[in-house]
Amino acid sequence: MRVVAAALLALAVSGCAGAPQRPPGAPERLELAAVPFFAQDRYQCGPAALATLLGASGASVEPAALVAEVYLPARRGSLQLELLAAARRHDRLAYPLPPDPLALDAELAAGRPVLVLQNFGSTGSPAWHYAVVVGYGPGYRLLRSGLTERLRLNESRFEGSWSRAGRWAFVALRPGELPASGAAQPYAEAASAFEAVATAESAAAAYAAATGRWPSEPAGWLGLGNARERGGDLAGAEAAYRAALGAAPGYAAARNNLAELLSRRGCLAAARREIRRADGDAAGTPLATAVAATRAAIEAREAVAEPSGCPEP
Amino acid sequence: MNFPFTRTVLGLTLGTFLLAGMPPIAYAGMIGTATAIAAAAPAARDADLARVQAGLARADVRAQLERLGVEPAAAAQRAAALSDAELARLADRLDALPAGGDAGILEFIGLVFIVLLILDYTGVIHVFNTHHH
Repeated sequence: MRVVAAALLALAVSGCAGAPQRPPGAPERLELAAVPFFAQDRYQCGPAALATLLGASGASVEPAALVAEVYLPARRGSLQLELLAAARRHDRLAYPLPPDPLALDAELAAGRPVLVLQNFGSTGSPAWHYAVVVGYGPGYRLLRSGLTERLRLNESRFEGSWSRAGRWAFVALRPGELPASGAAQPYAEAASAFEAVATAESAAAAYAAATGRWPSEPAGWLGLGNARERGGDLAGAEAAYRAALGAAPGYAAARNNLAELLSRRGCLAAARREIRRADGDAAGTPLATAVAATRAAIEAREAVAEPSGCPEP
Repeated sequence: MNFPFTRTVLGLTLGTFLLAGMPPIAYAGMIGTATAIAAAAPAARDADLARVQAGLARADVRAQLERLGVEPAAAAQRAAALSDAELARLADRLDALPAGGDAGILEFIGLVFIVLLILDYTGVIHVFNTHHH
């Protein structure tokens, strides 16, 4: 009996090793054949891989045009963070994936290729390389890599090269598109980095998607409010700040910005109510100085005849 | 421009303000999303101070990009596209972080060649016939 149990266990273990787990609902084989291919120039797998990723998401750009954005001549390569930044400059939200093959497969199953960093050397003497994963099957993965349009890489070889590079991977999301798997906090961080270079419209779309999936997370609402304010939609911005405060009443950043907008449209009594409360909520936090400065500015404003439509206490 | 010197001067100025117990700069008005997210992190420092530090990190990264061969105008744009958190991770480390580009293998071959050359020159091995002991 024990022998049978041991044999079953051995079989189960070897079964796990032979066939990697796929996310629920993902097909057994998958290939995103429509993903474009750009053969890389020497050392320039960064621009080539990025052009592949951007092209697949509908942002058509040649690798040569990306060289000035990501290539570091003295390093003869491209930095990971600069690839993220360059994707954002082409109106795509760069979302770094958790270091997990399941997250990678989930993106592929959602139709999105994934840019990965690989290390074909050793930890001590690395040989870094960027490639784009476009599919998988039993025991293998398909990549756009270097000069090879359809590289079929043994699963264990891919896994080895990827894990020696910290399993780093990212996807390029259109504004408003959400990652297949993902969490509110990393998405908000990625969206705020995107917001800094994106148009107000694109930034608003990215945050609106976040508030749709994670409505109880206030950072997405704050971002939506800030993007709308930048785009001139002040009523929409106010509504977003109020939604943030509905989710988290002590969120001083949203109350600070709400007070600032109320003050700008002449609703000074309401603005003072909000900024005083925000000042109390921010006390002892990293936002204390910033909120106190807003409060000082609002308190110093001369009261004028209030317009209609100001919020009542 | 000698950036480390500039940074030292800026750091000292900033430090003097802090020692005097004054907030360095007070930004009244809207609080940005990135600022609010950074302020919510466990080990966050004063948001205004963090903005000044991010400004320093951006100038540092820009100078490093130029030193590594990027045109000044492009370096400014590239530094501008990085988030404050990314700048903090890059500052002072551009030489050490992975740069994907297949350069590793060639550098490894170069390193092996140099080691062989030294060993040959010092008489440990004989692979090159350019000199004789």
